[in-house]
Amino acid sequence: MKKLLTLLAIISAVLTIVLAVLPISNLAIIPAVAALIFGGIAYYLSKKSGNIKKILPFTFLLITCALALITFKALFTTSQVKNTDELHTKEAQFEKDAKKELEDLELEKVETIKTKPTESPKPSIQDTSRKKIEPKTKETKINESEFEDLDFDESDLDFD
Amino acid sequence: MVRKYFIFLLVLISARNLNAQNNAVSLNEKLVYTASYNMSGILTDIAEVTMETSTVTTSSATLLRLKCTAATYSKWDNFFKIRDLYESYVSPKTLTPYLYKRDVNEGNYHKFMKYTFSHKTKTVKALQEKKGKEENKVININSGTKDIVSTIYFIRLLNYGNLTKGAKKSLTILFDRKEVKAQITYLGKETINTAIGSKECYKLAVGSSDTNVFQGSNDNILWLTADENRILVYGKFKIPVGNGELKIKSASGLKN
Repeated sequence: MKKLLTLLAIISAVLTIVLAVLPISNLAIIPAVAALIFGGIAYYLSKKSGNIKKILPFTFLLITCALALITFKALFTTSQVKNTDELHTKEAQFEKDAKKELEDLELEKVETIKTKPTESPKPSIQDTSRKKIEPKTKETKINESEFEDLDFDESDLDFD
Repeated sequence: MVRKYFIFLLVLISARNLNAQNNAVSLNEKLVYTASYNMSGILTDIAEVTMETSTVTTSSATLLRLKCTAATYSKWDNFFKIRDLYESYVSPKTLTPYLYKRDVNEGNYHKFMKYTFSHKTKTVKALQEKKGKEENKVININSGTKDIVSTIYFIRLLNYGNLTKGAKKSLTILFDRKEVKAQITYLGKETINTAIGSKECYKLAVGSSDTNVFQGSNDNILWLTADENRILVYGKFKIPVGNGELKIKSASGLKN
């Protein structure tokens, strides 16, 4: 039992170190806790029997170093995206190519924003800058007496 | 007069339901996310995902460019470097796609895909470049089929306000030159804490039409803000070991 726990503690401690070095250092907490539990029980049993093996304090030292590294990485390193120049170049190139390709495309019933600079904007309801255009057609009143003075040739008039 | 007004309103509402109009996606917005791996509650940041919109002007029209990039954080670059670029050129009003490009660069794996949509003939010209080989294919599509990028944006145009819990909406996505039926299930409203503040969100389960997401298998869940912008603030995805998470980091240039 004591040997098994010691072995599990060593394996967990090594796994903690490996994970702590990798970018997934956060996950190293899980084997670290397991190593501490296994190592603690093994140490307690060893102390009870009066025979503590040197490997156990060494396991604890490994776990402590790994935990220090995990804490440092969690506190002082920030996640950053680097080396994106190639991606940005590709983005620009794609856009340039797309413009050409879209020109060739038949954008059927284009419900897109049409770019027509000639269209003048419609005046808003409260637009006072424009004068109200009065209709030029005046109502003409007919004076019937004027007809009396007119000289008609009856042949010009065609009554159907 | 009042009757005419109501008829007009009715026509307007029906038109809105048939073809969702863009009232949520701005012409120059930028959303930055952190993609993380979650194992037993311990989060490990893996990559940064950026979703950006901009306009592209041609001689006849102005289109909306939807661009998504995924790049691993520098600490991962030596182990597994990801530099993915997805983009879609769509109608700014309806988000109908016209051109889609996907450039996958993951470790030693490289793949390029281009779809040219023809909605008139309901076909897509697909070009695939993989391992130095070029492959052209013409795919027949249904009306309303979109690429993955425009679909991600399109789900923001849907009106979730009137939906009841468990209501489903189907979408057809063209992915890897195949039409895939996706289903969105509305799971209700939920308030969550995000990097851009506490937000009331629409909770949506995303899955294939074949799987019943409402029977305890809600593996992929999205949280969209329950406001006019309906931006994706949090996503949870099931992966073989643990969970994948997408958390918003920053949002700028929003429409509303």
